[in-house]
Amino acid sequence: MKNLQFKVAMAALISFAATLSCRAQLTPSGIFTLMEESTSGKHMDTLPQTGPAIVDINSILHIKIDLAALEDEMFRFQGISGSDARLEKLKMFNTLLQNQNMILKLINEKFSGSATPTIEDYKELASQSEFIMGGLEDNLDDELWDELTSPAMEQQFSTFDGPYIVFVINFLAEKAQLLRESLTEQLNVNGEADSSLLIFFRLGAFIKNKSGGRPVHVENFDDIATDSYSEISSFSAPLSDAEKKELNNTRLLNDSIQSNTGQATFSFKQLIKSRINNLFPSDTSRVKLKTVYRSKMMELNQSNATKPAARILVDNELNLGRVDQFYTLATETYQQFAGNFPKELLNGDSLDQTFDRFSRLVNNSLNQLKGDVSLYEQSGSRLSSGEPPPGAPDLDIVVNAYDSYASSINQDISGIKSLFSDIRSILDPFRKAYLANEDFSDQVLRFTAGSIPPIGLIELKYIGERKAGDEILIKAVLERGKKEGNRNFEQKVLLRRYVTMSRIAVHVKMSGSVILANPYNRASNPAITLQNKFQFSPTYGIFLKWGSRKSKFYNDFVAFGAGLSFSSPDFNLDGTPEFGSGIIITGFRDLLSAGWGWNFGLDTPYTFIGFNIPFSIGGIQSASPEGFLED
Amino acid sequence: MVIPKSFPVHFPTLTRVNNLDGAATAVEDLKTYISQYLPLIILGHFPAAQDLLTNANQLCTQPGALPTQRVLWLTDVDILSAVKPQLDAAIKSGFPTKVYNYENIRALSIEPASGKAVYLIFVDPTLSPDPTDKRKALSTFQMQRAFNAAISLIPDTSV
Repeated sequence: MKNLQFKVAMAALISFAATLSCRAQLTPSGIFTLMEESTSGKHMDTLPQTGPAIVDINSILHIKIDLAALEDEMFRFQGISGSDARLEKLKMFNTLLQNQNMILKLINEKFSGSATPTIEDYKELASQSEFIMGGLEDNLDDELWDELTSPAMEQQFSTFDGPYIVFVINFLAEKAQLLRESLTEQLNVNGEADSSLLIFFRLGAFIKNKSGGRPVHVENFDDIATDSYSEISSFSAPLSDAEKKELNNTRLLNDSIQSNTGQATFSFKQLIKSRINNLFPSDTSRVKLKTVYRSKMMELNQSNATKPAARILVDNELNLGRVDQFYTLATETYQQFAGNFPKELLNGDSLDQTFDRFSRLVNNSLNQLKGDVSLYEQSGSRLSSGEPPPGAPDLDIVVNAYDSYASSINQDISGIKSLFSDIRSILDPFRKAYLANEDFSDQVLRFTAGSIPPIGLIELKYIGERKAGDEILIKAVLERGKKEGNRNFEQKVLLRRYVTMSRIAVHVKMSGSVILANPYNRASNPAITLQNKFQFSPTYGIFLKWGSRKSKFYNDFVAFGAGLSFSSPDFNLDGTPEFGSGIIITGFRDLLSAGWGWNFGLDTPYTFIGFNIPFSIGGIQSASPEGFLED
Repeated sequence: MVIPKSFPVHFPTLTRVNNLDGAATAVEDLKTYISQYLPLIILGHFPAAQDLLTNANQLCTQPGALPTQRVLWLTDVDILSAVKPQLDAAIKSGFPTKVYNYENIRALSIEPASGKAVYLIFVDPTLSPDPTDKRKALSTFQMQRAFNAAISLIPDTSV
């Protein structure tokens, strides 16, 4: 039974962990289809709608849009009922027109100029045409059908310069546009559509990694300039000088940004840590105040004469308690902000507001206490002796301690706010970049229904610097109006899909490591004078590696490789290494390797296992895995 | 082996709209015609013939049209009678279960390799018991579909 409970608990834990690791992704089926085309064009596959989407780092991403479904979504977002006959008809027209570009492309490429079409091309054109024409004959209403086949249209075609299918496409596209105009008619003001109510479609993409993110160009959908061409080589041979220089400049820039961000984060956390450990300087005065407060309250409470003075402290104790509670809350908030730096700091001014409220609470409590004490002391002037009332000096001591506490708190808060303000101004460029991380700039175009391109392309080789493991976020939204500040503005996210870039295509990698070589048939070779079973030896491997489009785990952790190894064992222990060569298999990101080799110096075979971890054995320093872990 | 043959045209400007030489050789000529072209055969006179035949000619010359696409317009009563058994057999071969009245057939396209009718256009489509025929009256739209149907069925080895 206990075992069962344990299993259930573990399952719950794993499922919780899985939930935590899932990022918000929105992939409505039907509207968008993501496809990957390899650089050579040989591989073309659809990415899964859900779950990990992994593509080769040099590939081309196709974002195919079902315009019929998208326009339907757009008009519904505008407020048109799904049962509106015009919307149904528009959806049908858009569905029939979905292959129009393919037909036009086919005609232009295969049937124009000096092209020599094959019988397959004719059949393809006939088949694609039939999709539209058959659909029209089956679905067009009588009025439009009669118009399409009317003598007037027959007359028009006789003077039309082009294939009949293009004539039909034009007819259908024109009718679809009329329907769109009819559907947006309700938005018209003085004959023109109110742009604050129009629905726009936008599609954009961002590259994201641990240093942040930036927008990348999606062909047909934005004016963002393409970045420099950068193909991740399939052979990790030395780069040309020009490439090295270019890469080095980019790397320096990137490193500088990363190091600034990293340093700022580190410094800030250090600062917060020291502050928390010593929070606040006012904390000392708070402890002192509480001690003074309690001792004076007890002291004054012991005598009937001073009990009225004690009463003031009792009445105000609740306020002190509240301050104390809020103090804890403020401390926790402070820690939380420090933990989420810089995100929380960049996101808003709530930290300032928290501390402002704290400051007001402390000041109000102090003023309340001061008022009560003042009233009590004034009551003394009514006494015949003119002496201050009993306990008044003690109350003054408490007020002074409270005053000192409030002053130090206000000083602390002012200091903290000033610090945050400084950090904010330093981080302003990062703040903008952070906020722009997923927000479309005006370079991302706005499309109304009828003008949306059916496909967007992201050529990964043209998005600039990227590394295996970086992600592309593809985002598509509908927006009501152009300006976010407008009261009618509304945004609906249709697609948020992360695509991870990996080194899928076979590539060559070179790596040095330390192996433990075992000349297993030493009995038949007297030249081998090894006493131990294994001998440490440096080796250099050249191997082929490949990635997986299905498993991120494989790419991140397993990542097998296979190739040749070259090592220099010294099996006869004469101090002069022999030359050995063989086959090698690596795994777990090349941290482990194994293989078989031949010692050409002693004509003997050996097996080996290798470790690519940073340690020194017998004066041989294994290469640091860090460099190898970085593709 | 069918010997290639030239066929007369109805109008000098419509180079892809042919006729047969006469009733005497109609059956043989039709066989030749089908073997050397991808034909749409139109039977009898019909309204707005000049416009529709102009368009039919255009369907055979437009980009994407197979070089062998032709329109055979048969109007002579004797020729129509002569080729009726041949065309009826082609229809029966292409649509073995279809209920139709031959007199109601205005046009048909034929796939040359098999000789089977692959698309039917009616004089009055409402008379056809098949509800899917209701819009299959003679028009440029239906002539294009008739050609599409024939092209789709051409064996890959043909040119």
